Amino acid sequence: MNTNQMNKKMKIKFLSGLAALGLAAVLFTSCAKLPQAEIDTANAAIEEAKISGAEMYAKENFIALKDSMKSVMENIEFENSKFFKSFSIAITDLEGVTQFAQEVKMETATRKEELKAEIEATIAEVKSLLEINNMLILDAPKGKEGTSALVAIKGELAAIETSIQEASTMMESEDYIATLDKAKAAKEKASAINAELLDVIAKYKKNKRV
Amino acid sequence: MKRRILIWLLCAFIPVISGAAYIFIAWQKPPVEELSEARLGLTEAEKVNRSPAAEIIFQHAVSQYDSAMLLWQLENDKIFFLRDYSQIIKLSDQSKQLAQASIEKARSENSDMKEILLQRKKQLTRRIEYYQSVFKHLPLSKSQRNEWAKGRMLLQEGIFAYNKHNYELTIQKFDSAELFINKIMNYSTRLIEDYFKSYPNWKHWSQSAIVNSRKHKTYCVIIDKYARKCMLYNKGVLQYECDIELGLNWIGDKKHQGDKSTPEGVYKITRKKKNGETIYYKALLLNYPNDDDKKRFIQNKKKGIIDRNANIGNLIEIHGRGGKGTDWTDGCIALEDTDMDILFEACKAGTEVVIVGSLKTYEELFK
Repeated sequence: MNTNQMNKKMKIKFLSGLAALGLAAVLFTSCAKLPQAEIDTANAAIEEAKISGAEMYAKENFIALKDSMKSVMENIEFENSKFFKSFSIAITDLEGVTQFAQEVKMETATRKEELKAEIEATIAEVKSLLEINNMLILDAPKGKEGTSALVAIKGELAAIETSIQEASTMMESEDYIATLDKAKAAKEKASAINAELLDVIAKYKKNKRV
Repeated sequence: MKRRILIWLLCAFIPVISGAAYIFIAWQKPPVEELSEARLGLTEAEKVNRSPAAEIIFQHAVSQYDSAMLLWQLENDKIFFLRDYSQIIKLSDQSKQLAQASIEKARSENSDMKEILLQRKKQLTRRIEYYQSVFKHLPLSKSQRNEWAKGRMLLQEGIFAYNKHNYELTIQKFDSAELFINKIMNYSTRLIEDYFKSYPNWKHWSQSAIVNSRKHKTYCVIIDKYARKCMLYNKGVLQYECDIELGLNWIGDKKHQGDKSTPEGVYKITRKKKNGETIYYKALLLNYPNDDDKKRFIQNKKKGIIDRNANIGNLIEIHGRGGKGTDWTDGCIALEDTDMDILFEACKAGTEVVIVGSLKTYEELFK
């Protein structure tokens, strides 16, 4: 083998080495693929939590959930920008996000049930107060004196009854927070009317000496 | 030979080294920190109750962040040394700044809104309190009473929303409450304004009665319907004052029987009813209808203001059994029994009784 042949052989070996290295790099980089299925599952779980009303009834955790998903997506993109990619941590994180989304959904359902129960209890209390108030009106002095004294209060009671009917309708549309506020306002008003009514009747009875 | 190999190696490595140097210079660090900061900014902004203006800024911040993420994906598709993150960094920074601006806007507007709504809450509450003190006895129809109650109910709901920092709902509730409250307030104000147009007559009647009382050294009774007061004068000097209750529809002059209105004018006591002669403890019967009432009644019938078959009514008295805290008579004037005793003792048949809408002017009472 002369010198020229030896040089040629070395050149070929060197180029082959470079090619092998390039191939290995390509193989390494293309081996790790985006965890699309896990991303889709996590996004679907977040959407489910949102549909269940998490934005309203589990606001803080829903914000944290969305932040977690964004953070995972940033990590995925960071891995994607590397020469040697590995999405194994991202996959674990995505599973965590999916799990978190399910927890938020459950928290939403629980909160909704709690609110529903509170509304029902408040409405029941208001209805009971209205019943008591109506009984007090029946028990109140008859005749022109009684009628005049209670005419304003009857108007107030009618407004409370309307408010409670509206609250019941609102509850059907699952707007529990606003419904509870409405029911609570009605309860406060009904309690005030109750006190006012007792006062009017007491005043009347005190002055009735016939 | 060695020299040739060395030259060959140098020729081969110079481009490699140059390439490596180029890549080292051109290679950029991925925008992890910038995007992370932008994301944290968005999360913080999301926690704040955003006003509509702050929401617009926030949505812009979200859009800049999403664009940055999309651009990063596109850049990652390029060969690593050809990637350019400058635009992503720019978008991330913009997103971060916008998120912060949204927080500041929300806080500032929430603070302003809180103050504005607090003032509105006070204003509406004051309006209701004013109504209760000034127009408390004003006769309202059933539907008007219901509207008034509805307004108060909505105000209550608005206050609940305000306490929970739900300013959007507070505005809605306050707006609706204001509509009902203003409607009744405006109606009541107009009613009172019209009513007080008769003030010159009232003033004349009451002053004449006091002058007559002084001149003839007699008693006279003045009833102030608006103030709900009964005043007993002796020889032109106020001797006794007490509270009264009237008919439900007390405002305005009595037009016909059963209108639950108390007449206005100059009357005389025609009969004193002792305890046992009336179901209302003691009573002083007035000469209603007097000549003026009869004349007006005929005119009103002719004008069609009252029904053709209506009666003018009678038996208007000052009587006892009052103190019920409401207007309940059919047009009579009710006093508490102890007050009735004093009045009954002082007055006799022929004592002048003047019934007026008010002894004070509209301006004195409402301005």
